[in-house]
Amino acid sequence: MHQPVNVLTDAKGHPSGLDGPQKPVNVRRILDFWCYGGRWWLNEPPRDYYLLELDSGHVVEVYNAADNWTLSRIAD
Amino acid sequence: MRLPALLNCYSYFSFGQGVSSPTRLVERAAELGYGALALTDVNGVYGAVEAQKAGKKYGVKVLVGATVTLTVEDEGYPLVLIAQNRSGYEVLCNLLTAVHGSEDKVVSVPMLLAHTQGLVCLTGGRQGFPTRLLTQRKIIQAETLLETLKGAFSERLYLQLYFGGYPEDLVRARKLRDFAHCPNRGVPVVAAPEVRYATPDLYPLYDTLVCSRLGITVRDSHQDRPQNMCSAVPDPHAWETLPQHPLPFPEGVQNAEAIVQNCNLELLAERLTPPAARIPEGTTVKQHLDERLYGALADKYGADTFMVAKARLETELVTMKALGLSEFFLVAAEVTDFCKRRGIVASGRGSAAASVVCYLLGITGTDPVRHNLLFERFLHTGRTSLPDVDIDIGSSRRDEVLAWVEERFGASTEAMVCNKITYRLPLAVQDLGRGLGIPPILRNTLSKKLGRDYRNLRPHRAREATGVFDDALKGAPVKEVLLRLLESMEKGFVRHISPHSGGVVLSRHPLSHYSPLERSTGGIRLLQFDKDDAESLGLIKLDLLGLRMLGVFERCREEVLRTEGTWLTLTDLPDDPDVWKGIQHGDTMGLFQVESPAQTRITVDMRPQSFLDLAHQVALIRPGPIQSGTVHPYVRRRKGLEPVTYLHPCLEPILEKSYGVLLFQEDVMRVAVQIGGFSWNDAERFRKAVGSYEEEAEIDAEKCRFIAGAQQKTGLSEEAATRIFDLCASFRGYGFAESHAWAFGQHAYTSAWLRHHYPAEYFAAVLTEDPGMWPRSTLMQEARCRGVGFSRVHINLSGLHYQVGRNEDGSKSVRVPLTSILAVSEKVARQVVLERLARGPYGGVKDLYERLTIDRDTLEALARAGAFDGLQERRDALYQIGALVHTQPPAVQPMLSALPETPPLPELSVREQVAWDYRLKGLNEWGVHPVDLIRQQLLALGATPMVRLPHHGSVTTAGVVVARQRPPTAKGFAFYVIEDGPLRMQVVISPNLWARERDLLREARIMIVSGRLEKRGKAWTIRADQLVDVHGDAALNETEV
Repeated sequence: MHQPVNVLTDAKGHPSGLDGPQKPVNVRRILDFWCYGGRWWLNEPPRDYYLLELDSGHVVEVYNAADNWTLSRIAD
Repeated sequence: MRLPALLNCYSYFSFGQGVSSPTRLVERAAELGYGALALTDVNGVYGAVEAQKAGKKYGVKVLVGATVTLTVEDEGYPLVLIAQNRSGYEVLCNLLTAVHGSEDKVVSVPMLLAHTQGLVCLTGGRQGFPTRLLTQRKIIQAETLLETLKGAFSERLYLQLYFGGYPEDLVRARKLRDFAHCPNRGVPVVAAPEVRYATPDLYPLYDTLVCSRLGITVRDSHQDRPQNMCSAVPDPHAWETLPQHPLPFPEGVQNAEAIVQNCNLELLAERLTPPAARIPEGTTVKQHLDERLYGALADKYGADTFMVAKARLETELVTMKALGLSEFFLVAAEVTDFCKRRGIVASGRGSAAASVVCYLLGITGTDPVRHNLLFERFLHTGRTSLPDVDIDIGSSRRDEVLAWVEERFGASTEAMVCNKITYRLPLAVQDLGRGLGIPPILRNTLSKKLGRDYRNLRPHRAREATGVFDDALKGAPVKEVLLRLLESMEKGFVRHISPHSGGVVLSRHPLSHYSPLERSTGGIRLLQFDKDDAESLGLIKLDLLGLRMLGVFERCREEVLRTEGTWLTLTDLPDDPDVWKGIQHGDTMGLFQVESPAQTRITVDMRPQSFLDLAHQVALIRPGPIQSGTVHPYVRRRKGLEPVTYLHPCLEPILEKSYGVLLFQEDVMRVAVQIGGFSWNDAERFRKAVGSYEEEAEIDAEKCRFIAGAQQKTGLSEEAATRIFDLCASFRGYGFAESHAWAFGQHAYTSAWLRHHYPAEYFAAVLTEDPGMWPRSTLMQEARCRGVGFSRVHINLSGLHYQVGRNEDGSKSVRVPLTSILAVSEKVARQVVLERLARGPYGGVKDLYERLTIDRDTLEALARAGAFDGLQERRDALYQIGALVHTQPPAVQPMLSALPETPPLPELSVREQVAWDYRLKGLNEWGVHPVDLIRQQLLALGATPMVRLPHHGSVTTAGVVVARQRPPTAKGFAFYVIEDGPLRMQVVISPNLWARERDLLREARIMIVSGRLEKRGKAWTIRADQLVDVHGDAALNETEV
């Protein structure tokens, strides 16, 4: 799944919460963080990936590319 | 906590594993506030000198290290080793020398354990053994290896922590730290990110070159491809902002600081290290040197010059002693003494020819007193760089001299400097194009189209060739990607190293004190530093250069001895008016340095009559004099067609002998000293700067300094000083040292003398050594004009080289060798000749096949080239080869031959034979010229044979293209040479015509040219208006068997 998502960030620019359908869900923990260079030869921007554990208990993967956040994976 | 240092940096000297120069890495580290950086390239310290120079400039402490691959149970793991001090550096050099001596360029554990003293060891980044073994859950192996290393390096072993922006790197760093700090283990950790380029924007370039190296394209996945741009020099605070898992751990930072404090190595020059000369027992170096010099002084100088020469000798000796170089000249003399003993023609060249010491020791053959050559170009007491002693050696025997040098000085104290080969546009297009997935055929087309216009362009200026990229790649999106990548390459990006053309470093101490040693693919022992680095390290270099023309002299001398029984003393040839007469007519084909069309024209204009004239002439047609507008004023003034004037009166004493123009490097130095007020040392730097800059900004500082100096010393106005500086700055590119020009002028005369008196022997030698610019077919046309005939290549009469023989009437002719056939290697030719000497001549192709193992292609080439003519017809020979390879094995005489009879085959026509000759040998022994084969066709098209052309005027003619030149100094003009039988003419092609006919000019072999002709002596020139390719290939392609 690759769908746009609104992400709230802290002072360092890391995700602190995700905008849900009703109310924002807080990020409980950043489990991992990595970078991906993107398909630069197609002018794709690089991406910063985060694996997040939410207060809801869900584990989600989001990435930020050129200031646009995308939800790329939800783990059960 | 901020990172204090970068302890694991790879530059482009890691060849495929880094893309920035050491200088750029240091500069970037300084910009971001780092105080120290360790250059740890793979298996080498190639960039160490450059990095330390940059470190001084930017205020960054540069540590020197290398990354080696440790093999354990068939797996390779990188280890980063950093030298703590000079002895550690020596250990590192020894280890790297051993690495390059191993088959896979890896380090075994015992090898590593023998090389630990004075070295700090980091366990490696992502590919290091802790990461890989722990990921594979091979805990015991990881522990064992860590214990082994700890036993060897003790407290100098650090477990390397890094963050490369990969999934789980944050967790991994914590696990690595826990592993290191495990009770009973207690290995310290150190924060050391892996750096492979200066800035993040270089990630695509790095990725593409990695893909190219891995043999994949950017669209393919591969575990060794970089996934992101985290290998750029990081912000020192970058790890502080990582989420939740703060890196680096405090002790990792402290340990990085401790390593920086404990590693103190200054590589740059400590002292000169002249090698030890071999002197007779019971004498000192000084006694031996004096004995040789003063003995030769009396022999070489008569009463009129003795005192002047003696005074100069003594001045030179004082300078050499002050620089600690006296013994070095005895060593150089040992080399030329060896050559003399072995009959190898050798001669010192370059600035050394300005030294009386070199002349008296027999290193050079030019008398600097007689020719008033500037010693300070060679040596002066203020000189901080070391002098060049260049010795030319006949190419064919240079290896013999190198082998002797290796034996004489020993394996540990002799090696060649390397050449750092930098990217030019075509090679960069190939490497990057491969990574981008551009098909080979398209890459080759693009490289070919870059042609003479752009082949020397640096990749970062690729946009200047946009038209060619548009033409080759049309609108493909990859074009823009490729151009962007090319633009991102640093100027001077080093792709690989190769042996220098002749620079041999000799040292009193083992060279491992200075550099690791490795072998080139040709087996030559190399330093990891180039000539500039070697100089910075205080190493002394002798340039033992191969010069084919000296090989010609040597071979010609042997041929003359064989045919005439005369041994020629080449250093003492008589001044022969007939030889000068030939040169003055522009009759210069096959001569040293004066055979090009430009030189031929100048020869006709100047009509040289002395060595001085020849020395000036060989120096004149060079980029420096051409760009400074020297050539035409020089020629016109010499001929008295215009008065000798000077840009400023103060230049008169310096430029008087060159008619007011800058001609030699010494002239630039004298201007700097006598007008700019420079010291000789600064003048040397000034000369190098104005001779080699690529962009104006590079010499701004020199300009300011010169103008200020000239105003102060000479009282010049700023405007006058600027004009004189601009004159010097226009002397850009390669110019000759005067001393060098004298040495080459002498060679030019020697070649003319030999050609005049022994044409057969001379041309046999020239055709064998191939020293000049002309194809062999053209040289043979010239030889024929001098009455030299050629005998056909023959399986029973030809050898490995062109050789003079006597005809029945006593005249001489040159036998064409088996190696003239392109498909016949020297090895095969030697095999054929040895078998012939052992068991007699061959009866034909069948006999050869039954006596030797030679592959079918080579056999067929021999047959087609006519090597069996006289024994059997060429088609018959070809038919037999086909039958033989299908019926019996080679080199076996069968009990019963089942070879079928050759059916009746048509004889080859003359036209077919000539076509085959040209295709297989590039020449024809009978003298039939390709143009003769299509003469009627050319006449029908209006092309007049050259022999019937008028003296001047508008003409249309045709010829085979035998030379193509488009020098960068010619403002877009191209110069081709076309040939019709024994006649040739230079075709001048304007930039417009070049642009219009670029493709034709790249492909054409026989061309019809229309334009204005001008003949001066042998210098014929046509200024082309129109060109037509007559598809010469079609004329040469005839029916095959």
